[in-house]
Amino acid sequence: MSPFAPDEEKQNDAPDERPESDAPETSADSDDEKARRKEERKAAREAAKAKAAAEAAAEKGKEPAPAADAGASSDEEDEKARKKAERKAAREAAKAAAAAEAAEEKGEEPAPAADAGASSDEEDEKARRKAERKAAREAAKAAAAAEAGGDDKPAESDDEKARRKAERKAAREAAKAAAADAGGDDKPAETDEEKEKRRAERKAAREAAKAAAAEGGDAKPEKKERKERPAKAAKDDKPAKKEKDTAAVPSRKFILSSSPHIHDKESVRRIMWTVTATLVPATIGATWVFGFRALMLVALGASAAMLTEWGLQKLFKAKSTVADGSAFLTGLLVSFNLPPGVPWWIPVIGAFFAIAIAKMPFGGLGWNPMNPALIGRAFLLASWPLHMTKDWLPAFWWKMQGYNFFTWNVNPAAIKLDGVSYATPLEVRKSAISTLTNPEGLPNDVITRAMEVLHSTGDKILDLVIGVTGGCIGETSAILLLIGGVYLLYKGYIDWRTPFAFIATVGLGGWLFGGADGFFSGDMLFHIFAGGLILGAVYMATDMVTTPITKKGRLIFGIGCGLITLMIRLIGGYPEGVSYAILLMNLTTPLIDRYTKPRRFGHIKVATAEARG
Amino acid sequence: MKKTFRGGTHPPEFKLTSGVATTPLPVPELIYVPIQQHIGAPGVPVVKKKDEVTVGQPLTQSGGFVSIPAHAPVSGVVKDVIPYANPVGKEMMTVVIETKDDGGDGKGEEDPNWADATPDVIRERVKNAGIAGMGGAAFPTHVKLSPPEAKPIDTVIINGAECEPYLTSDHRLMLERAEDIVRGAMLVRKTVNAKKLFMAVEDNKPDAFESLKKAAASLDSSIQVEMLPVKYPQGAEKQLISALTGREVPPPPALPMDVGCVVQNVGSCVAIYEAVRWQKPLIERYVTITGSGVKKPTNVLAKIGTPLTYLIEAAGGYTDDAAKLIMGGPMMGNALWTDTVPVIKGTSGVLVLNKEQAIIGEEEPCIGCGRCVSVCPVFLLPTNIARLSELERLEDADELGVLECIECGSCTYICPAHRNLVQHIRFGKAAVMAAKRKATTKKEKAA
Ligand code: SF4
Ligand code: SF4
Repeated sequence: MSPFAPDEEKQNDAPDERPESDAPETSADSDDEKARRKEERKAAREAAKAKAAAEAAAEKGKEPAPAADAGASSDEEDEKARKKAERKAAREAAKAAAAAEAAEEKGEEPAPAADAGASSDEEDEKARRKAERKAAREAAKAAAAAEAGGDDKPAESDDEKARRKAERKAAREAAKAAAADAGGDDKPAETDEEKEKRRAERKAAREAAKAAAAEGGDAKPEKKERKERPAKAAKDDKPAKKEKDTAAVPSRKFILSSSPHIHDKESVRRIMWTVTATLVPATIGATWVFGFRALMLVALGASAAMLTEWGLQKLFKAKSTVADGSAFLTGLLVSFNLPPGVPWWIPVIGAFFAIAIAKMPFGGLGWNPMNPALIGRAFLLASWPLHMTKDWLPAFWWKMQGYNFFTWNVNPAAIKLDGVSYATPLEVRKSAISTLTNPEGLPNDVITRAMEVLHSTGDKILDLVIGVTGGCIGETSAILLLIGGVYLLYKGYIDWRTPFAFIATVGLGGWLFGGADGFFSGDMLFHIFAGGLILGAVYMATDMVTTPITKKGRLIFGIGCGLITLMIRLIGGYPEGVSYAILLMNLTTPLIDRYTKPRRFGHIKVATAEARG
Repeated sequence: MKKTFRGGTHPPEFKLTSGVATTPLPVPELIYVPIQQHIGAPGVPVVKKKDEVTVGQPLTQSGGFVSIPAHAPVSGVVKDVIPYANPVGKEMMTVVIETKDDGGDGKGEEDPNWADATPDVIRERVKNAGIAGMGGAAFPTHVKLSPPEAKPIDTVIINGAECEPYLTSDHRLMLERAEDIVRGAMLVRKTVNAKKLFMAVEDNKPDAFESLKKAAASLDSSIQVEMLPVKYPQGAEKQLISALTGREVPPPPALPMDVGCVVQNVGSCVAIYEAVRWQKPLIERYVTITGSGVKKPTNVLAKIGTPLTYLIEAAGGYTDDAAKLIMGGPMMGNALWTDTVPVIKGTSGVLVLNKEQAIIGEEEPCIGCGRCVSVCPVFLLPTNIARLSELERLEDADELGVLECIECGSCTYICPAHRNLVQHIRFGKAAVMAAKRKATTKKEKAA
């Protein structure tokens, strides 16, 4: 089947929808109507809640055929059966109208639905509904409860009235009783009602799917169909069950769902764990450079994050999503952004904050506006600035006198190199530049030192690339991070645009403005490889949730990150600005997405017109 | 570089039956011909219970310009005209014929001068033969062959891409009926008065490419047979046009004719050829029966109206774990709840998936990976549109182009969060269209 169907099918689809979808709004005008709808909406909500229970109860009586009869029986059955039948038909009609369930031409749910509506009756059904709608409107205008219905469709009027009244009453009662039936009671003329119903149905479908998955694969959305129909049919529709059984007896039960029916192997879980796996080399590198301590901090962060997510979901009785790996990754990244000399509780609190404040309250993975790991870091920086800015350890500190690879207790302030506490390359450089730009009143040796620092970094680039330098746990080894990044690029988990734009902006900007001797005196490589740029650009500015989805948007996002980083590094108070840059840009993501929508297929003229105007 | 379109994805091909020659399916005892198997107005039944019908006799007359008749696929007696399960969802009035004998292939007398038929004659015969697009959309073919004068056609494209995984009916047709395809294509070109004639095949079917090329070379050397890289949805009309000509069909309601193109499926070409030469109505077609849920996937030539049970039987029956029945391919086909529905004109395949394949992961929240954006062949933002549709923010969804979605399923296929994007979008489309219709009616009333 070739896929040019939809456009054309749509046209077909359209007229079919009319009776159902048109109906709702027509009646939306009058107050009476509104009131009633409110009531019914309430009913529907209750109904949705109760649905699960009702469905379970009805589980036994399932079999498509009996339900199907419901729609067909309208003429001969007694009032009650008829009412139920029509309610049934109305619901099925609503369902057919809801393309969420699968547009008609796709035929999934509607197939059984239509069957249930027993099409011999379909036309009648439509005519009747139209009449009902009209009647409702008139009634509202006249403000005389039921009288109005009489004139529009003589054939049905009285019956009609009585039935509708009964139905409405039934709805209210049903709502109170929290019986699923209420949902279907009102005629299709009820927008909100229908919406609720559809929503409820969709929810039911999802739940059914879950259940199916758990059961190891019984029918999913189909299950919903089945459950639902008997929910009414089985309960109070006994008389309507008889007839029909004509031709269609399927030889077996089939799963129904919306197309497509195959799926790529990729899943969120797989992506998250793969990203995590690509950070393993960097973790090993950090352990080698900063000792066993670094590994422990990473482990603490990751487990604290997982524990927090698990605990919160337990607390709120939500389904656990710990296995998707995103919490682990967040915790890992929190630790990666810490100085290696921090006490053990720093990563724990950071990870807790990241998950409990920056992620879960928004709805968990996929809903958080800002990168949780970076929020965790920002929180730590604001709360324990000393730990976060002073607990640096030089590379291979554990090889120094009095320490070993497994040393846990270390006082970073006590570790001195050339008589001063260790500082990261970015810090050293920043103070050197400020010294040189403002040398008045400073002792000569300080100035000489600053000159030395500035002009000696050239030979240190290799150290920065490999990572044998001070800095945050996970950010030092550019090469190991880049290896991971290349793999992610290859897998298509990250878009090259963001890291490229980010790194290029910082590199060029650093070269242009980063020197002490005017423009173009900065050290491009230094700016690229020092600090957290590579980690940020490859792993955090590419976080799927908090960054733009459009290609152009990702370029802009990367450039923005780069500019903010530069500003902080060169002008701001902190030596490093990658995390804040990303966080700030996270906030612009919706805006960027909004203004970088791709030109849609066939919109060639429109696009140029927009560009001009 | 090979020609292709932008966006799209690469589902695994699963072409299990490309090497299986097509066999005619035995005629069933009861045959079910729905009165509408196409897009447009349904036909009006002209037979009633107990009528004798002979093969090829019209069962309905067309109900308007965008409408086509259905014909008796066999000779027999009309058992009844009843509403019956239909693959497109709703029950539909269906002519049930009790077969007496299969009565041959329905060919009428040969027109010796068929090659010189005028465009009007061609259109007439195509319409009378009840031909609808056989790639799945089932749009009446004579309508496509009647472009208004204001829209001159310069290019005819014959669609042999068959980009849906699993399906091979077009592939087999290209191998087995290449010359007839080319003859039909030439008739199409003549009818719409176009200069260029492209035939497009994806490069996973090199044998079909060769076969068409050979046939084309022997009949008319000006025909360009093109090999396109495999990518879904290459066979979508607008994507195919863009791949071959670089032209982009404007958003709906614009049609390919707005950029001077007419696209025909290879199956339709054969039908057109037979209709013009023998006035043969469309009463049979190639169908692939495939998937992990049948024992012996195969290709058959089935009479329109044959219940799927017969096709399944031809494919060795269900496997024990068959769990999902799909009419069409896995990307755009309809899941069916019953196998009693008949083959219709747009049925290119019947796919049965086993339990394991039929279960698709649970829907999770969007993680914003942007994959759906990068595969969408009409450059939409599927995740946003789907969410807006879900929230019923219809105006916003409309603004983002929800109506332009071709429902190709690429976005849902690729989404790591298993979001049912197309499903939500379809809902949005229907709702937006309903709202628009309402607005128009209101306006009309006011005027
Ligand atoms: S949004 Fe529509 S056209 Fe785009 S990929 Fe999804 S289904 Fe295809
Ligand atoms: S592919 Fe799925 S997860 Fe990714 S952006 Fe689209 S909807 Fe979201």
